Amino acid sequence: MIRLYDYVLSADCYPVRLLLDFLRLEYERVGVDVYPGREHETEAFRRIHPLRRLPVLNDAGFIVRNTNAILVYLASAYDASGHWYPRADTRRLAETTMWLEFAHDLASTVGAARCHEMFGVDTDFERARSQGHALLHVLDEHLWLAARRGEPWLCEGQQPSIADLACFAQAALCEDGGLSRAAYPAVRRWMDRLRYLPGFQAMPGILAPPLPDIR
Amino acid sequence: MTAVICETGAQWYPICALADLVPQHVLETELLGVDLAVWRSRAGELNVWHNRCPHRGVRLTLGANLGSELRCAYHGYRFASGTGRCQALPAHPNRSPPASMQVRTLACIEHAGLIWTSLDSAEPPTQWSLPDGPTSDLYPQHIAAPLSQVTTALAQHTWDFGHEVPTDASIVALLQPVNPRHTVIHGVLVGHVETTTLQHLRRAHAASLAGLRRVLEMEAPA
Repeated sequence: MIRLYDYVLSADCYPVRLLLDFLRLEYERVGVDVYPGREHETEAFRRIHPLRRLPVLNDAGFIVRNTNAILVYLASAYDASGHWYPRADTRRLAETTMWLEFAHDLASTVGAARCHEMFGVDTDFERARSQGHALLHVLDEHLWLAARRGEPWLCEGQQPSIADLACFAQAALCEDGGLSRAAYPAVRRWMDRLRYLPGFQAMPGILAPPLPDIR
Repeated sequence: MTAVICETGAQWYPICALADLVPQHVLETELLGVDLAVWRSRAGELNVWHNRCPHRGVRLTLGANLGSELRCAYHGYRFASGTGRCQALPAHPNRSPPASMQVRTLACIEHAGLIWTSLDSAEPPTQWSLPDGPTSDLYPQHIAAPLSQVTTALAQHTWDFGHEVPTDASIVALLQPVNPRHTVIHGVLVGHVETTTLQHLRRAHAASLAGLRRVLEMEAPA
């Protein structure tokens, strides 16, 4: 049984829920009241994550902590197609790792600005915003150049990877942190591609993919 | 290889590339402070609309491009490609929508691989100052600086495209005044180039203008 310690508004937990849904895995969701409850800062939660962070995954007693590690674990263990974490393809594997690190950079800038605005987390807001915009410019240019080569995702080839999910969560929620997406049209197109994938689940702040037409 | 700034026809401005208008997508942009929703129907019809649902004012770019209609995300009102006329009110299936329920549309045209529109003029320019030849779009650089500053900086910009540059090709920069604080530099390469050369030029062009953007954004007041 897979159990996910999760906070519904967390941009760090959301990529894990996305992957669980894309892989059509059953899981038990343990909601942690991060805000305003600060439940993750309790002594009880320290036993689940010594650094008192989310997300945490418990797969039949095996514990994995933090977004990227959980994505790597779930894709390696449960994705028979191998495209989410392309271990067999050295170039795509390197690119996936690189963009997972980029998602981590987005989390500490774009994500930090959002946590400041939504949960009152202490941070250098202006610095987080300006560095976040610098990263979003890099992301937009990369996605534009890739699309013009006929590659729709962050890494080469025709299939999305876990890096797309990790970066998507940060980019799709950036306006919560006061970062406009107006200058990043290629990011918006890539977000739509991901939203239209079968199995996509939305979260508060992200619109669900359009429903079949209501007549 | 030359890089030129192109003076556009009266009040007509480029707002995106044709290749940006992908299926199921509604592109969001702004021209002279007016929010726009831009989409292409399945049949290839271009739509440049005010980004505002006539029903409750929600941004149409939050909605869905259904192929021949755009559906607002809020109450599901559907607006026809071309006219912007409301086709259906989901809450009143037996009532035909009033004629006044219509999105404000703008005239638009595709030229040199870019989509052009005007807030004032329904008649597209008859003369274009772009060189003749096949075109490839280049990365649109969004800069947080006013049009006047971008124009000046671009005129003084030292381009660096590396060395694999065909002599009979030219790079044209075309400016979109987004609002008083933002400008987009659209780019078109005119001329025949090999695929690998085009990829190289696209990377070099984007990197070159990213440098220009960083300088301008440091100078411009936040």
